[in-house]
Amino acid sequence: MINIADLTKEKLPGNYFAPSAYLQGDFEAGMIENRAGNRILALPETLIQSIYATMDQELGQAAGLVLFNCGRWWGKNFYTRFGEEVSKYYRKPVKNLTMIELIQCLKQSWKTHGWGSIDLDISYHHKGFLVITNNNSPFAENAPQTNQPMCYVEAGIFASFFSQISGQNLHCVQTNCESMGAKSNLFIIGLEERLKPVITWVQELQTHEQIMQNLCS
Amino acid sequence: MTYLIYFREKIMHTDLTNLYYKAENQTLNQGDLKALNSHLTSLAKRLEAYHFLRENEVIIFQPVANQLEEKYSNIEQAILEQALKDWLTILRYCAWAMLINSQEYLQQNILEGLTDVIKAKEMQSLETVLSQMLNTRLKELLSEEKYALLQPFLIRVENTILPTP
Repeated sequence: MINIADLTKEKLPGNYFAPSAYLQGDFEAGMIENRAGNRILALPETLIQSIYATMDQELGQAAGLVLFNCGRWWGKNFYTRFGEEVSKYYRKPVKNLTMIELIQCLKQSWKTHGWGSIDLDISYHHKGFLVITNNNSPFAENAPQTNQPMCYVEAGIFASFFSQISGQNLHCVQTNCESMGAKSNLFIIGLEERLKPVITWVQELQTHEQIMQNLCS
Repeated sequence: MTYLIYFREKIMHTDLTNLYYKAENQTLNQGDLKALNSHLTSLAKRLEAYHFLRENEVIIFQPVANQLEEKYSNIEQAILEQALKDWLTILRYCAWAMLINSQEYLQQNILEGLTDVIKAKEMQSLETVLSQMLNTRLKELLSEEKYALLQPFLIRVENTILPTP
């Protein structure tokens, strides 16, 4: 028989990343913290725009690779902090969360940090790929308009985050970008070797749908 | 000052916040004072309803759990327990959202996180039945006035996480 009195003794968690609970600011000190007491860095639009402009000027075509690696590093640290906070709040290690709980936490965390709204499409998992959609990305919004996707930092974060979850060295390539006038930013995650041709297909301006068809055929 | 801003934005009712801003620029008129009075009266009732919900979780939920076990005897107890824990959480958040009169709080602090989790379990009929049982139980236990205060939040939950019939 189910005993409700026992159930009420357990911790019943809500949404850890709810913005009103997660972000706390001290206006006088000019400081933003999250609910774990970690400092949050606010990225002004001008800074993001300047990063793109400076990297392009200093590094030219290599700028994308450098930003991607910055994202990888950022993603590695993000995963560590995310894991610590989530496991403390839910009182279980991240690896013991169900996939849907983990995805939900990532989605909420992503949104609360102001990086956009993400959705995961796992329908290609049998082929070894994961597709992520991100809407309202501040990186895409402040990137220069070219005919190539520009969210290198996010691609690096996704590559690193999902590598650590899966225990495999995964790569991520962006196929569609809001900065090119697309409705959403689309990313494909998979093994680096298998994603190599995607880079060429993106340069050839193939659509995301064509690329997925090529990959899965 | 920082604490006041924090308090105002996070805890105060929207209607009280509006009066707070208005009072910074002018004295409040008769209509505003009437609204303030009605707000304070309503707050006392909300507080009473909140106390009731907080003190009576077992009384509210135990008969629901018993009925649920009887109706879904073919389903594992752990699954039923998880569904009951989800709804215990939901009711706690509804109670607090009712007290601070904030649908936004309910949406951000519980529904955004829980909706996909509940939908992914593919136990929609169980969730729907549990929600109906809980609603019936709350109607039995709460006075009409207290139930009316809670009802908009329960409706928000149903519209968000349950399938449209």
